[in-house]
Amino acid sequence: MIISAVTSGGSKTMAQKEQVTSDVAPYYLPLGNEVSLFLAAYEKRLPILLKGPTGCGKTRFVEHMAHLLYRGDSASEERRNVEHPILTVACHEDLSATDLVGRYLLSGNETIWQDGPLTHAVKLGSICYLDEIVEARKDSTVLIHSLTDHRRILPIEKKGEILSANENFLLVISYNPGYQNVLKELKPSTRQRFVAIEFDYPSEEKETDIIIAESGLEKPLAKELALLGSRIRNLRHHGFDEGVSTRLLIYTAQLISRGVSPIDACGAAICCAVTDDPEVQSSISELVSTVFPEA
Amino acid sequence: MDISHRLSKINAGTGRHFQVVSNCLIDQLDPHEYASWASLCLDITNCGWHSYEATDEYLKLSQLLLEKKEKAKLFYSGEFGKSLCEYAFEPAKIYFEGAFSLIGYDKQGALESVERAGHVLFKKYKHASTLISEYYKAAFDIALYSEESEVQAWSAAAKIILADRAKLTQFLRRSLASRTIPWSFVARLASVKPHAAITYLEYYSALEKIYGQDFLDSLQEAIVTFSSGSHPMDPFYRALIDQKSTNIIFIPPLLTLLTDVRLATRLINSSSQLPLEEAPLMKVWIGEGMNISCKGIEVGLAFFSLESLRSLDLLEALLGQINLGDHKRVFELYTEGFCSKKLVIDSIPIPKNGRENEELAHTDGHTIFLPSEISIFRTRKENLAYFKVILVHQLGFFEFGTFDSALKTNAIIQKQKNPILAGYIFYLLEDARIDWQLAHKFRGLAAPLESAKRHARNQRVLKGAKQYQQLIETIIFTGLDADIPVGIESGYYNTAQQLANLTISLKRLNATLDDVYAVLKQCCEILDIAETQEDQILELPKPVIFRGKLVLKDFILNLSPLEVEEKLDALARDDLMSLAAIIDPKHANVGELNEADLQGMMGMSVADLEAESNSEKKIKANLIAGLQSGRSRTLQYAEQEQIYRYDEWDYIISDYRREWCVVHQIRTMELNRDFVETTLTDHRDISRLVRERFKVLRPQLLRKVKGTLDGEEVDLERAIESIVDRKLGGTQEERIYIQRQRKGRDVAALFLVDMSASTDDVISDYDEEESSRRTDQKEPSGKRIIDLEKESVILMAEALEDLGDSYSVCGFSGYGREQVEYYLCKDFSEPFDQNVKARIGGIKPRRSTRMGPAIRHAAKSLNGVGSSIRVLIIISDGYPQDFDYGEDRNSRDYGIMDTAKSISEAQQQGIKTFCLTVDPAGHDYMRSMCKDDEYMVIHNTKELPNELSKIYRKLTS
Repeated sequence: MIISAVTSGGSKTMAQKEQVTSDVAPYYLPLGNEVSLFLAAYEKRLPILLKGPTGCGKTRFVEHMAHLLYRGDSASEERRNVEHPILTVACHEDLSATDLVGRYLLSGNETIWQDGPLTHAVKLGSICYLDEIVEARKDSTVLIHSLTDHRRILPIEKKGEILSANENFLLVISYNPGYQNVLKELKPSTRQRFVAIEFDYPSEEKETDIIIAESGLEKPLAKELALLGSRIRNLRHHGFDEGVSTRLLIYTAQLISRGVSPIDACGAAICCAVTDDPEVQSSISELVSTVFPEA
Repeated sequence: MDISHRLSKINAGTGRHFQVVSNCLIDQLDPHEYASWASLCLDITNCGWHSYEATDEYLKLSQLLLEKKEKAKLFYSGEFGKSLCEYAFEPAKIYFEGAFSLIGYDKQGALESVERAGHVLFKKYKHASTLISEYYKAAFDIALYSEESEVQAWSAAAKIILADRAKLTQFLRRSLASRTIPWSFVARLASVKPHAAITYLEYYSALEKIYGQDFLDSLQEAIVTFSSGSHPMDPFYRALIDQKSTNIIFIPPLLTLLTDVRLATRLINSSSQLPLEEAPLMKVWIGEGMNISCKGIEVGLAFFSLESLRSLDLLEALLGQINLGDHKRVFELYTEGFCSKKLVIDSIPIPKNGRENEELAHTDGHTIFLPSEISIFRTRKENLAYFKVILVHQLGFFEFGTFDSALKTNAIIQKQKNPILAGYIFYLLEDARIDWQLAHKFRGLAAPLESAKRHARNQRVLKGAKQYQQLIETIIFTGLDADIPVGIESGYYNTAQQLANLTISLKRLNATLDDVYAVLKQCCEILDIAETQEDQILELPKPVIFRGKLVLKDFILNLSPLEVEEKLDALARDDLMSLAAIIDPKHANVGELNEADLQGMMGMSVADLEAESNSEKKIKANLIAGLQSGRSRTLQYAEQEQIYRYDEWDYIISDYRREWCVVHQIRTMELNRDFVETTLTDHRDISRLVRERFKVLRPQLLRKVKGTLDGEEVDLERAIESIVDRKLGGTQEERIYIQRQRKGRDVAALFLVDMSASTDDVISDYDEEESSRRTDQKEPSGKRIIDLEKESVILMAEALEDLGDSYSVCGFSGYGREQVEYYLCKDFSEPFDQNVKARIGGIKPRRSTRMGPAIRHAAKSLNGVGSSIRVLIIISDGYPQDFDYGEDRNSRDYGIMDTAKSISEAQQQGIKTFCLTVDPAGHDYMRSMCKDDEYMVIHNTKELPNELSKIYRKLTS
């Protein structure tokens, strides 16, 4: 899902260009008012901050919203023409402002300018989704400041340009307060430029529905998986601060629906995936065997 | 006639007796034979003092012999008797009497055996008439009651033993101890070792009384083997006599696997803890024990005493036993996952009065108490599943709301006619509901629960239960998914059916606590009628083990004030009164209630409260106060002392002795509030020096810092960017290097201070002595070792506060392996505040120095901190010692080896250790405990603070 690599061409960040072409929106089950909030924010082009643990559906939500806004019934013609409605950048500690904005590349004796994903999105009017923004270098977080207030501009220092954002452009960032280093708190000056939408793992009932929708698993088993998920999340302070994500539960469900026994599927997709501590692993195994009978 | 006359002269009776007998004999003997016989009688009588008594017996025997046509025997026995009589009349008399009895019973063969051995004995100990008498007494007694072969065996044994007179005497005396002694075996034993036979006889009757003859017969082979060894057999027999375990009857075939009686003795002593009835399993275990015994007898002794880790591990593996200790953390995590509560898992405390023989799991809301081990099933898997069921049942109380309504439940129970019975019925119904709900909600639990229920059903017997109890049993049986018990009285069947139907109604999905209340009320009504019909004293049935017990009172006592307040509000006044009944009124005192708590909880002040007379509010406040004081008592206790068990290394058996030492972590200790301040004032200079030294300690964490002006590596991306900039003609970026920088310290240190009695000694410094010699001062400065230890630690602590390292200060002492004291003066997370200072100041000399467990405990707490550098500094004044640190109290080796092992264990866990000692002889043992650069012997004790800071720098930089 997340691509970040140093490419031979010199551009260090490859944004994932979402192909939101299908007529069907990616599945997303709203847990609260997040959809209406997002729509309202988009209308006023207010940048959005998504907060929540890993695998709870932040990215899926953005994809879902992008589809709704760029390919949905109410999407304007202009937006429909945007080739990549969403550009996702997975941020890491080496990601600098240059990586986002763009850089000159050496080509023989010449230098060629290449737009970064942010510039790209600003120009084309896509949604730019900066995933795990706190991981990035400080200069890149400061860079987005001018884009996130009334100015909606992107200064390109190297070229001496100031780029005004396309009318359709929206900046969405995600931030996971759970496992982040204390040192990597989001600065208030950055944080206060966003409309924050908070995510958490869904309730057992909703998670059951999500599992069924994503994996096609039958309801009783999906319900049990959701029950297991909520119990394992009680252990989230023991080396896996995030608990078991909905994503992992869906993986498990997919394994089960492919004929793997529930206990084996949980062993592979949950027990081993969430922690390396053998005692935590065995306590999770015990929880698994509490919920699912042994074959 | 002449002889008769002469005999009459010696003893009239004998003369008359001779006359009678000779009249009978005269016809049966020819004149020559008669004359010989008569003169034999006279000779016997003339032998000496009281010889006529022997003659009387001979006359009786003569008559019998001739009746039996044993003419030859007549003269043989007469001659032999005479020769006996020449030394004393008693042996002859006993001989004739015995011969008479044996001939009377036609036991000529036995008589000959007795005589043969008797001859040998007589030849050797002619003058020992008492011994010979004892021989014949014993011999004839045995001959009379035993088979001829046994008599022969006895005689043979006697012959072997008779070389040693003392032993023979013991043998003869012990021969009469029992009439069932297997003489052929004794003879066999005597042939192996005469003393073995005597020892066997000594214990035979006691053993026979306890175990019976068959058991002793089955022991014979083992006894022969053991007796051939060079070790005394007494401890073996005594162990058998003292052993009260019922499974000992299975031991004889197992003993044959052993060759050394010392190991056998240990095996017998351990039998109550061994599954002796599981012969194949025991054979494997004993086989391993024999194998490792080759390494040394101590190894074997520890193995068979169940003291070595190897022995216990093997046994548990064979038994499939599950120990709580091994699964404690997993269970705790499981508990947290299951009910999102952080509960402690602990083993069931042993009741002080020892009356309670059933170990029943229960919880007080903070801790779940579980059995320390489970071995009722064959395999580990089954036992683990059973353990899990016990735990999950307790968790079910949290899951399905039992404790949410603890106060309400109590009120309802108290309202019933017979609250004790109602309480019990409630537990039964709630237990059943919990298990059913668990199986409904968690499919994975259905099978283990069913298995536990099946086991519980098989354990229950209705036989002998009183009629009234049968009704209660019905509820239990129904709760265990069984039908109404078969043995139930017909008159009670309808009532039982009603109860069963009521109970089963709780089996449905989502049955709640309110359903239980409803069923409880109906059950109580039915049982109350039954009770009045039959005037029986309420005797509660045996508990269902896996369901443990439900102790609402403990739970209520552990509720937090806020929870209590919330719950109390929901109760009616009557219910409040009934709740007050379970709280100890003497602890329920408004005065104890903190004003702030009260304000917060009830919106009124203490003064307001006192003014209210017996109002609902006052009852509530009293209750809260009572609950709170109960709770604070529990918490205080927990705060005071925590107990940990540690293995100990025994170098003799080269194995750990499992859970050998009990470390008591003590928080409440003597306080000395001035010591720290005085030290810091007195040693201002050293304190400053240490601080300065620490200031230069560089931070520990290495971090890659990019974009520096110089560094170890070139940052490629920045370099390229810099070139691009240059080409574009812009300002060139110069910061293109990567540097590794140290940032922040990640150090945790633990100072472990020896608090043994010897630290009370006054320091005799070399310099001090010199100066005192020069100035003719007899008394040195008067500072004790412990004071110096404390001062060093205080100076370190002060400096570490500046540096920001996390550190802990602990002291240790104790007496014996069960009482290792570990004084936690300052924990890592605690600030260096007045309480900590007072605790460090209060460190004082106590008792022994059992270092191993203290180091293990220190390592455990260090590991809990999670710092990358963990340092353990041990400050002591001598070698490790304790009264039971190794079997030989005079040997230091055991303690030194265990300490060395504990240090290496800590090092394996990534902890840096350092030992500091002020004992001048420290080099001798320190060298065997740690590497050269891991210890230091301080000769000038005043240098301790200074050295300590140097060492700390070295260890953490």
